[in-house]
Amino acid sequence: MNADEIGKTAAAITSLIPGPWGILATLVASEGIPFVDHLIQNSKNNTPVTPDAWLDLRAKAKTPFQDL
Amino acid sequence: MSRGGGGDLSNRATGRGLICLTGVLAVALVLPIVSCSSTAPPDRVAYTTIDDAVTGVQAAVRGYKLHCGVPQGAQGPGTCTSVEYEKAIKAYKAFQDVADSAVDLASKGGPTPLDIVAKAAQAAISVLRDLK
Repeated sequence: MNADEIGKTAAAITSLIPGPWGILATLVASEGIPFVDHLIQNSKNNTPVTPDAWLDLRAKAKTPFQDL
Repeated sequence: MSRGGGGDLSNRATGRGLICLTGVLAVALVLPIVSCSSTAPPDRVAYTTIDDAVTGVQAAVRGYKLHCGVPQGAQGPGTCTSVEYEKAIKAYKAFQDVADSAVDLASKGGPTPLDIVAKAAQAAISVLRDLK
């Protein structure tokens, strides 16, 4: 599920469920889905790690606090 | 409905923070076990564990910043106190040091203390979760 689809899902949830529960459901869709997707993708990948991937991970780990 | 009002914004920030932190806790506790029991090569296991720990802690940081009303890329504590905000920065930096060392070791093919990475992630998340 890409960012557009997540956005559409979140908007649909908000329109279907008004109030704080809708907001919480939206948050689950916007935060939870990408998070779980990340875990699934990682768990499915059993190939050796490339040097570029290590560099990318290092850069990700070094992301400054203010940029998050 | 007072969408965008103070109450809803508060609910949104609190809810988002809770979601981030809950997900992060799940990752920090469950993922190392799952990844270590898989048939992936050791470097992939290390990569996955470190990557998920980093993702989890960064999600917790985002949740905390949202709680404080600090937009992405902005500096300053927002509605949180400077003391608390500094604690959050310090906790994140402490985790970053561990993650960086772990990446260094793992990328060279050496043994990597993944349990320490998981513990560092949990420690950072605990600090972020308990901040006001």
